Amino acid sequence: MSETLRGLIRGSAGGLLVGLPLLYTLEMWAHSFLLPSWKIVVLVGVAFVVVVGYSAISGFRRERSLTQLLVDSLETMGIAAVVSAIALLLLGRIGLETGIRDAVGKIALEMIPVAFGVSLAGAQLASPDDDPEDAQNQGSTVGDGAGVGAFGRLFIAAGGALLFALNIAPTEEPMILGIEAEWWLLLLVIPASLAITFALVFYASFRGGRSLEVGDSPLDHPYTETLAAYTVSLLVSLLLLWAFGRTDGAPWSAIIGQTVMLAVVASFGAAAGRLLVGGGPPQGPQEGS
Amino acid sequence: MRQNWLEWVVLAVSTAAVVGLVGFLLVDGVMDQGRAPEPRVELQTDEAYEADGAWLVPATVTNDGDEAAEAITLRAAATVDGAEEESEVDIDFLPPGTDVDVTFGFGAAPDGEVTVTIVGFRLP
Repeated sequence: MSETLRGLIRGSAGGLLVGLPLLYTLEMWAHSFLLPSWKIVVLVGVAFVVVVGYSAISGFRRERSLTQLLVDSLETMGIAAVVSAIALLLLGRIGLETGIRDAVGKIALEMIPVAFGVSLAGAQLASPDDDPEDAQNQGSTVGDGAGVGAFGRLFIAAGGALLFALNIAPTEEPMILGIEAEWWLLLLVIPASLAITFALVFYASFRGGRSLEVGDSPLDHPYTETLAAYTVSLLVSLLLLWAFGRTDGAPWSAIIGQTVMLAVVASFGAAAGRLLVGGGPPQGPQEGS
Repeated sequence: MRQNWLEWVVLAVSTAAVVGLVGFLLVDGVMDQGRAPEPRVELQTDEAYEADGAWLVPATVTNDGDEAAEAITLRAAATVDGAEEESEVDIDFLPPGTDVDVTFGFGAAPDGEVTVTIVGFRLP
């Protein structure tokens, strides 16, 4: 009972920790009624997949059945919905005069970042003495990363990219950056993104950072993994830009420009996500030093 | 697997919240006929008041369409002391189904009816 309550409080706090910036973003309030309902449903669906995948990979409360996993993820979304609703009420963004569609749209959109926070809180922020079995899994890495294959890491990369880029995507800035950027500027931004995220994961010696050793999978090579994670970041950026209506009627050059500019942020999220799960080929000697 | 009532409550509330939100949006998406914004202005002339030498008339703007309107300009006109007076109000966003309260200002209490025209708006 008290453990459930603690989990609930931890989840709500984690949800707010991640969700607050977007709860304070004008564009999120406006997009709740500017976006068609089905696009919001698609976004919530993608968020649900990420939450399911994250809790499957993160391995907290191991040995769960698929049903248990889905129920946990449903609860994550539910907690996020309630937390966003209360936050929006307290911030005066929804009230009695708000149309029902407007209110539902706001809660559904805001619950996405909040759900990521709830999910992270469950796996990463749990107190080590909460569950002795999990104690050794706390900290920077989820488990020892042994169970996380190359695809699992790419999935986490997608989740991290979504989490980071979502904070920027609803605003006008990526659009302005993308439209105003010259082609040669974009050509510089792409290698810069690749280089920085490569260094972040393989050279910066963060906890969860990895050595340059090569694994079995073609995606276990630092170069290929960086490239694949960047591609995932581009796709996540494109998805978000499409979801927020930035691609409607835009010329290809503008779509590419916006995607590349947003992917800078997304690729940082993808790198942070991969640091979180660690794993991959045997950890380098710098680990723990 | 669920040991206590709190876990059941969390599960029940979560299911209700998620199914409710997604269900509503799905139904709304299916029912949406894509009707263009239909701003409607309701003047509350009887609640008009005077402040700092101006006669202020509150009004509620609603949108009966399915789509939101952006940057709506409303113009109210009335005869004040024999002269025609106009008052303009801009609204940033007018979502469907949501009420937005505005106030029109005139130099003094109008002689007759206040008429409001929608000057224009932008589609999202």
